[in-house]
Amino acid sequence: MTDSSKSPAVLFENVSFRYTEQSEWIIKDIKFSIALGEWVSIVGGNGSGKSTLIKLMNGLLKPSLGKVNVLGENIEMANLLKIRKCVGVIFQNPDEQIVGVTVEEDIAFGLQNLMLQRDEIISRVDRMMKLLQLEEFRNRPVRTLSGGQKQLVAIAGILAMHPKIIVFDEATSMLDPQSTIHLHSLMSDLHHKGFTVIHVTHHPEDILKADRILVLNQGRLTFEGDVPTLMKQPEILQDAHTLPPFVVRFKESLYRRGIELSGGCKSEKELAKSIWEYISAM
Amino acid sequence: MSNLGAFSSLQYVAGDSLLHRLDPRSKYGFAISYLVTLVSSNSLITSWIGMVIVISSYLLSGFHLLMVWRNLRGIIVVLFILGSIQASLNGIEAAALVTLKVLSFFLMITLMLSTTPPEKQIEGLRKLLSPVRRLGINTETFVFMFTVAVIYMPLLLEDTMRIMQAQRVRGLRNGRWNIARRGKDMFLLLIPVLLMILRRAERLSEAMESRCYQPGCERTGYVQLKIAKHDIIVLILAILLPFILLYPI
Repeated sequence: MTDSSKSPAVLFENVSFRYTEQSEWIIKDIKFSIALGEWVSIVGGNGSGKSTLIKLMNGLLKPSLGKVNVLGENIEMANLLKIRKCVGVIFQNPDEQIVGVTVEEDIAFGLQNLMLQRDEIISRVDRMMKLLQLEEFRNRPVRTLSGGQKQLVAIAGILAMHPKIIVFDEATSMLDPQSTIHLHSLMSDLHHKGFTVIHVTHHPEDILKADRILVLNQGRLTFEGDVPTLMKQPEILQDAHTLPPFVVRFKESLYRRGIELSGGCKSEKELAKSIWEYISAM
Repeated sequence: MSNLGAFSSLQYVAGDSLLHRLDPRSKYGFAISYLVTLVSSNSLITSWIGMVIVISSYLLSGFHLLMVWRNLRGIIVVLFILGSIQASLNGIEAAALVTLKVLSFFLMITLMLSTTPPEKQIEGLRKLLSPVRRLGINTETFVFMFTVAVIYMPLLLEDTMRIMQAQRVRGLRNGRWNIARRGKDMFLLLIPVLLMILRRAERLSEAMESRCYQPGCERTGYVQLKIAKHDIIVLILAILLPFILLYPI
């Protein structure tokens, strides 16, 4: 047994995956590691293998080649319950992850599977409902909630299991803008509290907050690094059928017109500051 | 989308009547006793009494009688066909008997589902099956299948309606009274609905497994049920019902 506190949260060692021996590789020769407490965005177009990567982390799939280690344990040898308890996944479609009839039951689902005492389950459910402000929906059928509220219920269900790594698998893609903003601020809070956040997305704006980005293109890892490095090579994102964030595209387009802005461009605020400095220097 | 057609009668309707407060196990007990009595009896009078019992229970549950009619609308065609076949084969009395039995059967089931929240239905079922579990038979999978059906039936119906609307938007016209055309329409609906069910089932199983669900394994119960005095009265009635109704009149 490895000491999980010193091991990377997730370690992929030359991992390839395909469903059958005859089928095409879904992901090929992937190698990366994610440290505990890090926020990593995984970006790529449709069919790039992002969701497969997540399923491999959670033990829902096993690699055809290579090794996947989660908190120091190889997923092929480890107790899958332990792995799944540590890696919580919030999926894309809120409707397809409802597993309890009412909100409180849905949150309790994972805890029931872990065979915790009923009192412990109730106390954790109460805590999660308070944390995510879901108390007023306690006895409401999950089906009657909005998409954003359903995603919050799914997050509460995952957090109640006390995971170390939380994966958002395109969790905002079916939400309205307001719910998306709420979910992003929740991701930031979780990251500040020390959780390892892995955010799978194909929205360019989502990557700016991440410590590190992994870009997947047709099952291969084409980039691994931080945001400023990726922004210097926007063609990597374009090749992966996605786009650089708006601020980067805006800066690029100004550059093509002969306006070179100094400073970073991680947010609209920074961009506005750069424009202000440029105008003041004129 | 809240309009689920005939299936809306299978959904829970919130309330605070005596029937709503009953433990699901006593309701299951009474419903089973009632249905067994109904099936075993060949008397028209017994069937009428059965009908009176179920209608009175509806009134006791605080539901309007209009709801009985709304629930029945969905099966009125089936009742008509069944009654006609029986009437042509065995006469009017047999037709009346079958119609009354099917009506009472349907109303008892809908009453059970309308007055019991799904989470209590599931826990009641789990508790009722616990003696079978002690014999080494795995009942957890069955209970969970029931749970998933309860959760996903409205969603699947909504999806089916969405597909029907998409087909209509593309020019498909349903023949309301044209049985052959309706059959063809249903066939056109079958493939997308089947694909959708399979896709949903795959994603749901992934979501469940990622939250540590292992098919057939024991889980901690969450909803707590309590047998009260009125439940004992209902259970005694359930035991007595076959003796009272099946006593030769």
